[in-house]
Amino acid sequence: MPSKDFFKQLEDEFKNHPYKDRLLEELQDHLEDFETDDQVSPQIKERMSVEMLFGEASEFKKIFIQITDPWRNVFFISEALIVGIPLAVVGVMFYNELKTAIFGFGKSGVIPLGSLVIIGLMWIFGYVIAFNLFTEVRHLTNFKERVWVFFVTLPSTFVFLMTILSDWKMLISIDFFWLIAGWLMVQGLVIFFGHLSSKKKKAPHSKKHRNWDIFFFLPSSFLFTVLIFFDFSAYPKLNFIRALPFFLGINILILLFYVKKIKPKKNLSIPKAIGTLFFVGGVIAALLRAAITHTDLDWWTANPWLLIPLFPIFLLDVLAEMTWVFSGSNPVLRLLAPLGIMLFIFFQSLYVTVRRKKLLNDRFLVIAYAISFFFINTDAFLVEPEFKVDALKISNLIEREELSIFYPYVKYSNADKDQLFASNLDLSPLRSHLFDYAVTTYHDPNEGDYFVIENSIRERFFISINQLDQHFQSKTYDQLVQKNLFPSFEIGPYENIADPPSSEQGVSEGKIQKFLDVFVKNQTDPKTWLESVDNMHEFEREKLKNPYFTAHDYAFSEDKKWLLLVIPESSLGAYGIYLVKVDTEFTDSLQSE
Amino acid sequence: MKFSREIMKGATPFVIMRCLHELKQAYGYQLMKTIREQSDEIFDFPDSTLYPVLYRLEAKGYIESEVKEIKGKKPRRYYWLTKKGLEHLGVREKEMHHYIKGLQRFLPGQTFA
Repeated sequence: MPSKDFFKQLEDEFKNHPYKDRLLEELQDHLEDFETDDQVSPQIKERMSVEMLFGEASEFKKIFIQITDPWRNVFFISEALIVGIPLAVVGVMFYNELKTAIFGFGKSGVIPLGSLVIIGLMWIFGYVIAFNLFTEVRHLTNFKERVWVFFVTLPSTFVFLMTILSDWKMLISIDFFWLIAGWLMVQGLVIFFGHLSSKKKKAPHSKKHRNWDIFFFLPSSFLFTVLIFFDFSAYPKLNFIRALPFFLGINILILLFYVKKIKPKKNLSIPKAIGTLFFVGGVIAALLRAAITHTDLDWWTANPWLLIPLFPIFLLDVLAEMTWVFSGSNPVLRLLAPLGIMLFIFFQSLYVTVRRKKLLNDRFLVIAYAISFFFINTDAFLVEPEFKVDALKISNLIEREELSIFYPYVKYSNADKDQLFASNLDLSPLRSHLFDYAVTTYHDPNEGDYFVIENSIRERFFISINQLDQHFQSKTYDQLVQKNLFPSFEIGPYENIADPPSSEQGVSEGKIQKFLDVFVKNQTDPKTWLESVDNMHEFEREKLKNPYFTAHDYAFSEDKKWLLLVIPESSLGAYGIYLVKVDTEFTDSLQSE
Repeated sequence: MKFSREIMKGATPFVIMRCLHELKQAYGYQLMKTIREQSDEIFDFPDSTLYPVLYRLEAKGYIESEVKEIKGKKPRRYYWLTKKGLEHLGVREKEMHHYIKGLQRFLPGQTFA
């Protein structure tokens, strides 16, 4: 009986498997029984190898995993994280190196060509890796098949590539870092999952299905990563922590009522059921979130049934918010992007849920997309576009087409750290807020005053106050409005305003100036002021009643003409950073009245 | 003849439990040999199937095992049905009987009414 290597191989295959020792012991007994079995002829014993008797060692592991290890998905997730996170880190490092090489830290200005190079390289880098691994996942080892699939994916890939390029300014400004990191991470997770499952299952579905998988998977996975990480970087990461209990609570409730019904009928596995629940829970959570954010709670308590028909409105609201995210200059994209994203995610989730019940990576996909669906919805609701204090929302400026105007004034640099500390700025009290923004001013002897925004990961953004002044001096009100700098009813008055605001705008203007007036004249802490004010417009007062709506941090420029203000915008911890132009002449005139 | 995995998936645990029921208690090799002989070599489970299924049944509480030394033989791990396993087997027997009865109606040679 040769081939004792079988047991060594089995030991290697199982390593720390809980059944390893027992199995080895029993198989040794089994072998001994076979060798001593009188009913088995010596010829057969001579001929029979251990492998013929027991099968392949790897076969044991495969079957064991299938039937004895219900927690295998958890292990796979852990393994996938171990692989996915380093992949993301490598992506980030790669991007940073490129960025440093092309831009150089601390330099102002944008080099469009360099930006495009970065985007192109990163896209190819990520895509090639993803494509190759993905095709391996899907068992497309044949070169012809790979080429064919590439052409299948090409149209949708082209669409999302164009989307990226149309908003390339947005991407390079603040979010590309997170975007690529996230994309790589997500790809890494999914790919690794698929890779693992592909080793354990032979090609489980048809070529047609594979093609649909790829068609759905790559473009939309990128798009949802765009959205998730766009919001993650634009808003504090605290969103996630605060939202999680709410999200889990909803899912647990659904679990109690839903899983029992679907499991026997649909034969859903537990991971699949959980994925489905996340999806359903995400939708419900988002809708509830919308109901709470956008309306008066008391009113809804009195009329709860009205929530039901209003749900589509909330969904439309989501779509509307999405246009903010993809608010490039192309009107078609502005319209189609949010709709496309929603449809992609919806159909993708539906597709993998309904049609693909067996693959492990599909289960993961369902969960991943369900979570993303939740985040996309939730974060969309965090923005309250109708409420804009007399302000330029910096994140909007950077996101939107005005980036080219404003980017030179916003210097992002870690290299300036020493210089910053050398000026004895004290940001330490604010650093305790892990996911917050801190704002202060900084005087550069050569270049004048700057606002400094420091986020939770200690990135600093410098805004030149002198250049802001110059910018507004050279723009008329109409020009500013036309350029869509002020997305809602605001603002004014600015110097050189050619066309005075209408009466309706004047109301807004008045309350805004009142708002500023209190700041300027009394130097009151904004938090205290916002809680005590009682003479604001009704709309403002309702907003200010929100306990979360209190100024988190603020800083005035030396001449008190500019105010940088950080305001939490919702209970889930989204922050808006507002740059407020304080018109002291107008304030003085109000005071004299 | 090798059966497809789909067909054997439900049958394997049933056959093993049924065999354990008849033998009262048995060790791995004995089980495999008995199943092969009893089924006229129709069922010839590879060890890579037998042992994982045994462990799964034990994890579910349908069988128990213990290393024993019986009749002067070397110590081996013996398996036997638990009360829960016995009840489960009863249900599965009825189910299987009914299933085979239905299945027979569709085998070649059967005429449809």
